[in-house]
Amino acid sequence: MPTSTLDPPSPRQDEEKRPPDRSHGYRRGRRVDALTAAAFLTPGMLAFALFVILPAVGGLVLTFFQWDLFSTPQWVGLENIIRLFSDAEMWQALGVTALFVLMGVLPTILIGFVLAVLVNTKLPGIAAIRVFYFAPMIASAAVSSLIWVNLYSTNGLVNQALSWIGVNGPNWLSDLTWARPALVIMMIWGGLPLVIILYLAGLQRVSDDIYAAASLDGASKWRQVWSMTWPNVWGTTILIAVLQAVSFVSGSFEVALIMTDGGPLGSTQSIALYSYKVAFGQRDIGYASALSLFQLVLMIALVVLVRGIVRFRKERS
Amino acid sequence: MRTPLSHNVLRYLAIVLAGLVMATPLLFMVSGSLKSAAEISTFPPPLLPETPIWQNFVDAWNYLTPRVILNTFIFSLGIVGLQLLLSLPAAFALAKIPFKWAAAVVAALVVPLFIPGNLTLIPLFVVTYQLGWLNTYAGLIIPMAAQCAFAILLFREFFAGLPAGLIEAARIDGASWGRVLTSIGLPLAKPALATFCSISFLTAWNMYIWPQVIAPNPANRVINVALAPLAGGENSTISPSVGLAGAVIAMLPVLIVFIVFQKWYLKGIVGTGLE
Amino acid sequence: MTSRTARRRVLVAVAAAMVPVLAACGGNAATSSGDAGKVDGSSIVFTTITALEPQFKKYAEAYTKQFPDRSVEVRSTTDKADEYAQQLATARLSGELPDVFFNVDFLADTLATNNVTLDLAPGLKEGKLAGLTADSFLPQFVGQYRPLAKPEQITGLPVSADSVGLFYNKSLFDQLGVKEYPKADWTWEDMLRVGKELQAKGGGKITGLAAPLGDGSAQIVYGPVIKAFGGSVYDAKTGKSGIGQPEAIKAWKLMLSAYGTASGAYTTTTDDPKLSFGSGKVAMAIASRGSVPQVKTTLVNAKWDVQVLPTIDGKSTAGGGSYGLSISQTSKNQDAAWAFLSWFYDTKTGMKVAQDVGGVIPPTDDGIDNGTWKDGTPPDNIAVFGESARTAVLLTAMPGSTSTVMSDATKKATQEVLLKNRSVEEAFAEAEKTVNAAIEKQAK
Repeated sequence: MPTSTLDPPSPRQDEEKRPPDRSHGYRRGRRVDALTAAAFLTPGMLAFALFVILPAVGGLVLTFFQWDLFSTPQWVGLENIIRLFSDAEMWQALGVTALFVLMGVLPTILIGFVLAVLVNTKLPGIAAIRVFYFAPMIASAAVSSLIWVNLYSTNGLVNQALSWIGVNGPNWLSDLTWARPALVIMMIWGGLPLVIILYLAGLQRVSDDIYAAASLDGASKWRQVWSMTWPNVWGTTILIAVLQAVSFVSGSFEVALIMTDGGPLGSTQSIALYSYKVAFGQRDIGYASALSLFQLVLMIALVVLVRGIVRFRKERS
Repeated sequence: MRTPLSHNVLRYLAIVLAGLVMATPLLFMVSGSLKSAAEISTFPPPLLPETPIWQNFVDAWNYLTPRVILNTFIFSLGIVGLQLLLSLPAAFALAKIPFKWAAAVVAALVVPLFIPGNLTLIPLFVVTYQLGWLNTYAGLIIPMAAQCAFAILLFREFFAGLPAGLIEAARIDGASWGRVLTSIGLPLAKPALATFCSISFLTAWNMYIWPQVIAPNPANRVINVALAPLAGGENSTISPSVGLAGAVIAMLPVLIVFIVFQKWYLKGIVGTGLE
Repeated sequence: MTSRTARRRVLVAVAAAMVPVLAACGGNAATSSGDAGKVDGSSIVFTTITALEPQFKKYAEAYTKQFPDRSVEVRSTTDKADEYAQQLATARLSGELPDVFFNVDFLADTLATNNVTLDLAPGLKEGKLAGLTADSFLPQFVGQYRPLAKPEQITGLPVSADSVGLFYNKSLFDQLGVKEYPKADWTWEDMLRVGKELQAKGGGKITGLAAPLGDGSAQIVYGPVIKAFGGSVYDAKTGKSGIGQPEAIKAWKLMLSAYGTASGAYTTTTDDPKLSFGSGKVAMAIASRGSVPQVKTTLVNAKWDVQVLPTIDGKSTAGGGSYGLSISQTSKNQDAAWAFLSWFYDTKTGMKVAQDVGGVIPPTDDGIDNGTWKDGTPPDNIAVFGESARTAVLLTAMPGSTSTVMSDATKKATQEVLLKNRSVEEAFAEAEKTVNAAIEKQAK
């Protein structure tokens, strides 16, 4: 357990590090800040610890047990973890997860941003039309998946449209090459509402004055957007990127479960979906937990690595 | 700022076209909810029902009681309200109060998001059960309200964008952090608040696994649990149209929330002379 | 308090909090023993899957009408096997298991070995099921609910003697000018031949025969076919699967030959309209009796009927199975639960309603021969389900969750053959290996 990152640094060390010439008042100010921060954080963090961290740890501890939901968990030590490394299906799922993130996150952000800019207007009737943009979020995964299965089926709308331009479309969801892109497109579409709504909120902070100034210069509309609006919502973009990464890694597996069941031949089976199927299909909670633990460790390693690279570059420049 | 008329027309067209693509499931739901059992199973599906079957809505409505609807509002509003209470101060502290381990707290918030929820469901159930909250509103609401990482991150991002000068000035004038939050942070956070409330309300409103697991007692039933039998499945004799009618009914409050809340997250702070 | 002791305390607190969490996962914390309870004035909770809820609500109503002081509360929240198992698990952890609940072949063994389901055999002996004993039921259907380790026990009672038949859409046959409707003496070759003709004439818009293997995991279809060729899906005596043996390979080759000829291309999605007889675009499909009520409501504009499944070497290839009703070991109202079952399985009371409402085929000889279920037309030829119920090859009970491993393995092998041109022998030899490894692991 990565307790060290969660631990508060000891106050004594904190004070030692501080330059000695600080005034008494400043130091008290810092202490008030820290106390207030603690007071502000405590309720949220307590609830979070009890209902998020504790169950998460509980779930991950099951990695060391053999458990089928109904029996008494049996201690098996590292067996489930060792099994990870010889499990070809796991490595394939890992690759699929990576591909989902690579293919999905960036387009979702860009398309979402463009659409948000597009509907961020006061044209008449826009309030009602805008609700349409949130539809993929409002409709359940089951309903959305049903529609997309129809769209992608051999005689479905997608292939009909392709046949107008003389292309003979594949059997999307059952094709080794095309099932994954087809699913990613559906997941992008499903992720857009959240992105749009967050960007819309972010856009409200971009002052009209900026545009007014730019218009005088005669900058074209889209150049304005990319050179002024885009940098101004950078904070929102980072937040969206994190949320989308989470979504493509572990959130949106339900869609794959309904539409392809991870197939054909595992080409749409992410680690999250694999873990779900191991847990509740094969009722092997221990191994499913090991899969999740592994995914978690990789994510943390990735974040640490990226931060390390960023820091290294900063130091060199 | 003046834009030529043709520009607006083009933009309008683009908005409507993209909107239609995004809205397919919604339109499908509404059209499907009025189809007969035969029409809904036909492939390729007809765009519109030949004669709308309003009976579908009556059938779906039979699964709901005033109690169920009241429960769903208590559940959803409870979650939204509690999440605001838990996350706003926390987010403000993380964004604006200088203290050392802010980054670590943020990391602790994000990391658990990568653990699939279905694996933590049973441990979460056990924790809640041990608290004696089975079949209670507390058991329904509090554990879900505690899933507040998204809220904290969203508000933190928003507060971080507030000009530092404004807050420093208030601090120098002697305002406590609590006052800064309530009198400067919150009024300016309206777009974020509206965004969060609509998303959080939608998420809570659509939940059904947690409510059915923690409160199997029918007295605590929420709308999606009550409508679950309509989802049918293999060999179900209930027409999928009735299920879609149920989905349309369940969706209405969410639609209203989205339409109403837009006002706030679109007006926001533009033009307050802040910049 | 220094930070170090604070840190230690936090850790201790977390560890202490984890203990009950883990201990409770075993279910020991909330396990209580059951109780007979009273029958008069009783109220029991019945949990089922969503697809069956409307039927069981009607049964409950009829029960309360006959016994106004007794009530049955029907609950259902999901149709997915995994979510259903999860709910039973959480209900058990909190000691809130329903009194009577839906059970199914692939869960039955796990529920039995973990003391979730009550052994009904003693009660049946004592005559708690008015007029019926264990022998009254078709033995193979009860057999699905006999735990593999303790076959003398019965942990669930079958509700309907369901088997599969060959559904066919007469209107589509006529529309395509195919005169040859399925006949009782058809062989699999006949079915595939006519399927191919229909598929060709349909020009890609109509499916001749919905792929018999479905996505590759349709055990209710491949089980009997493998058996007809002399192979076995799972042999309880040796504890081994034989899906990679030469007899089984013959069966796989036959079933796989449908793709691209009689059935169109392979599709992974079970929701695909090509696999659904109810879509009105499928001329023939192998489906269970259980889907008759649904087809009735969706195929209103077409003429359709059913025929017995074609044979292989003169042997029937109809598969079958039934969901069951179980009483929980921890129920405090076990007598009331028995009373309800007793009413439900009586052909004059519950089973009568079940036949009228759900088209249920009572899983007893008397029920099959004399039941009113045969009156429920269309399909005109519904009586075929009575014949095939007796000869049906049932879904094999397998230990623990290994039947899920089996579904996944056959599906994977099917895809490898069809999408990657792997040889049938190789693909299914590997599938057999996977399944046998899982069975071995389960035995540990």
